[in-house]
Amino acid sequence: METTRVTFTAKLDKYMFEHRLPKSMIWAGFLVICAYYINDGFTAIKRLFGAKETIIITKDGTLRERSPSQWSLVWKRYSKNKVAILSGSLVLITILIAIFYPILMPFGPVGTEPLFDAWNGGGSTTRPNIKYPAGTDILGRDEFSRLLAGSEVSLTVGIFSSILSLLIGVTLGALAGYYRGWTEEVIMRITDMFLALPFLVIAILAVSFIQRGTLEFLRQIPQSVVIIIVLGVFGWAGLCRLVAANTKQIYNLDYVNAARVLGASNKRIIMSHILPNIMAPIIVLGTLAIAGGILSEAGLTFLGLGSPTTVSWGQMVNEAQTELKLNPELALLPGFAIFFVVLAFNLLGDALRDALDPRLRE
Amino acid sequence: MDKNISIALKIVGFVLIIIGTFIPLYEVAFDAVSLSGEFSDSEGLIFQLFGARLDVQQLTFIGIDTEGNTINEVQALFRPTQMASAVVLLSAALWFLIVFAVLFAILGQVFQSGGFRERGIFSDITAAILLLGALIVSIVAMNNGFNIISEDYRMRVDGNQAFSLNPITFNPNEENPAYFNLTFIGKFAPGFYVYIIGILMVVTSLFLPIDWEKPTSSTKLRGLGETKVFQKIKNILTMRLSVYITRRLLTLIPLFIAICVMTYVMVNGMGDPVALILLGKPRATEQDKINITRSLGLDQPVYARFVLWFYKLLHFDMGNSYRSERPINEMIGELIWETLKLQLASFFFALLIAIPLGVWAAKNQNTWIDSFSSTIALLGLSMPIFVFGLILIFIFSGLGLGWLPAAKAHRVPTPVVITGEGFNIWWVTFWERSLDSILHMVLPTIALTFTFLALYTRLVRSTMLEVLRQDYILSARANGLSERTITWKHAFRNVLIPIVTYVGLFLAFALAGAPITETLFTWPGLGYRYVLAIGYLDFPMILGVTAVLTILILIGNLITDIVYVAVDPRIEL
Repeated sequence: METTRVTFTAKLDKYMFEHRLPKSMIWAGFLVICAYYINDGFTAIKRLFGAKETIIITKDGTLRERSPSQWSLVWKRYSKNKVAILSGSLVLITILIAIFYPILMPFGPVGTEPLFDAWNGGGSTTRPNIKYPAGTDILGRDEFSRLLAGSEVSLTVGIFSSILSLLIGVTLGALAGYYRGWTEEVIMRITDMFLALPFLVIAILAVSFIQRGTLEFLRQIPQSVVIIIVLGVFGWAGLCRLVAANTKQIYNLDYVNAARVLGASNKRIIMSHILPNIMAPIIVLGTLAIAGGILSEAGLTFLGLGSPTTVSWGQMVNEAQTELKLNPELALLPGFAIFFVVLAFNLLGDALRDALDPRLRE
Repeated sequence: MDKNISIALKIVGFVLIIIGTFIPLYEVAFDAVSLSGEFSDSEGLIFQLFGARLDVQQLTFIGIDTEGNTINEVQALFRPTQMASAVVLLSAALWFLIVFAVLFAILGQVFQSGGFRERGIFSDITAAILLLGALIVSIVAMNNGFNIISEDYRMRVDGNQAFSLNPITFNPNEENPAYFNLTFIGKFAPGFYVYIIGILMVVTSLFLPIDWEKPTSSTKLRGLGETKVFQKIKNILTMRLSVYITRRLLTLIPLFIAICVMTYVMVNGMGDPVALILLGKPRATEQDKINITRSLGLDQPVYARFVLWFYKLLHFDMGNSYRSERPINEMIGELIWETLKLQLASFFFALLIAIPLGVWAAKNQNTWIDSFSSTIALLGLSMPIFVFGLILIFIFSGLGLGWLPAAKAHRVPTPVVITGEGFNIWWVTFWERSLDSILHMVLPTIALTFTFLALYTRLVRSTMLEVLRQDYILSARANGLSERTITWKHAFRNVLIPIVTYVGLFLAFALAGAPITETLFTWPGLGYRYVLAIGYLDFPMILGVTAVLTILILIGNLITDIVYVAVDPRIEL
């Protein structure tokens, strides 16, 4: 087989031929479009990148310098921290790999052509060499390509399960904290129920119910979406409690009362007076939830709950368990990949906590 | 109106309800069974009918022969669908309704005595609605005789008679089900009327217009109220902590039921265990499939199965495993000890390291010690436990140094050479087994310790920093106390509060997190067997493990909350 130099388009063509769309690209595009619509289109982008007037006219007619905005202060604090920059760039690189891995990887992650390339260093369970930098696995698939491709599932599961649990948790928490009484009672009881679930045990049950159950329409859902749903649906309870407590705290502050006196609606008070002020812990917890999501996904697929057609780091460790003695790198490389990504997200969470709210430190 | 009347009505009403539930409420009418008759077995011997025994799947008639010596049993099959979905459903429903009604009535009393008028009224109304529901259920039970159709009994046909069946005390799934004395009770069921009177009394008492804050008019009762015992009871009842605990206990029950419903629905949608069982059988016929489905009770609708399962769970019976056909109680009892052994050992070591490390790091903030401890904590948080376990296996097990075993725990072969008798044999096997268990425990314990260490070091460090910033530490320092006294006597005691309160939560967390570690090291514990049971579609095992874990977590949360309130006086309820 001639695989000396494959051009970029040829790789993409081969990719499309294998009917495996780069889903991460679709997801990334989806995210960008969502952010665009949520932030009122161009104004958000302008606010991010557009030059601002540094000198403004006050109501008296006098000129003064614009006081630094909150986000610029946060950025200043963040960029001073070396660990923060390091972890941020690590996360960024991982995300870039997860989006553009079809271009980077030398072989298909599920194709078995290295198996038939034994004379050039391929075959089944070979040692790492120049052509196959991480060796090949037991079915003769290139381990390096699989490592790159595994980042997609890990990151999509981590990020989207975190977003899902943020959506549920923040909405319910804000409602419970703002409209006391019966609303709070009902929401808090539901939260108690989800807090009382043995998380991993129920997640194993739910994943196998959705993936191998008797309901046909549930079995159609792809593996990563299943894990996103399970982690998101069962993981919001702690966040909900935190948001409810913070909302309660802010509810009685003077500026919220002032807004209410001025006739602001409940929706406006929640959206523009309460939520922005409890954003710091939410962002930090969301980042840490990404790390937790990646770990949980790895754990679930390690237990053998993934579908064999999906490329996932945890599943690679699981499959390599039979080859521990001869090819330890097959198990260790994906394991360390999980470790470094999770470590990067944990460090990012800590750095964001320090930058967003210095009082939260320690 | 005086509140004594209401309380008295409630008490008498509930006593009547409970008495009524122990008197048979409805009868099971047989199609054509002579209760004073005779039957003959396959060899032609004639037996006098002595009694009948009801089981889930079958009805057994017991007879004595003419000399009154030997006892023979004839079994009559009947359709089990009618059994489970009607009798058990109704009796379980009655049971639930009555228990909840009692709980809500007590809560209403507690609330109204404590001055929470609106909540008390709400609880009373709920209790009344539940009692009326119980009334409706019992009327349904009265009017529907459960016709149990016998398929192949050899009895003489001799008129219609019936025997009584009590919905509360009846448990068809006991090992030795109660013998029912066959008596003709006709259409009159006295328990029903006692029951109705009790319910009416309680409902009336709930809606009497009563001023709860007004003291009672009876001077005798008021004099009684000043005695010490009653004062104490009154103090306990009106204490906020007891109201809080009652409330928490009440919320636990619907929580548990909701979780059970959710898991039951998910487990039953997981696949077809009958097909999996039949896989091992050569030439399995359609009849085999039907037989197995029936014997597992899977031919009944899901709600009836759930009620039956829950009813059995309340009697501490979780059914038999589909795989090994052993009772789940026994299996979980053995496995939970194995899991706890592992988890508690690693918890102990983690605390042993984490407390000094966290305190040391907090005392030397922003030095190399601090960064060392936070690095360890960060590594422990970020490392997936199976990767750390794999590294340990590569280094210490047969793949590397060969010091410690990594798998096949608890598989000691029986000793070949027997060197002694009695105690010596026991001691040798015991020693070998213990040594084997301990050797196999080392690697999983290290792996788990690493994870727990991270959590606890962070907790101890942040709490210690918070405490050290307090004013009383400053004043202690200003008074010239030594640094050691300040750290361990003044600061550390306050650090203990979150640690102690986390123990309850820890148990739950540890038990739920067991599957991954146990699967990696093939440790025969709850988590490993749970993952296997998911693969085998062993429904009773899956349900049993989730139910037990949920109960443990709920109790852990409750204890945590109570301890938190009891230990820390600053917290207001």
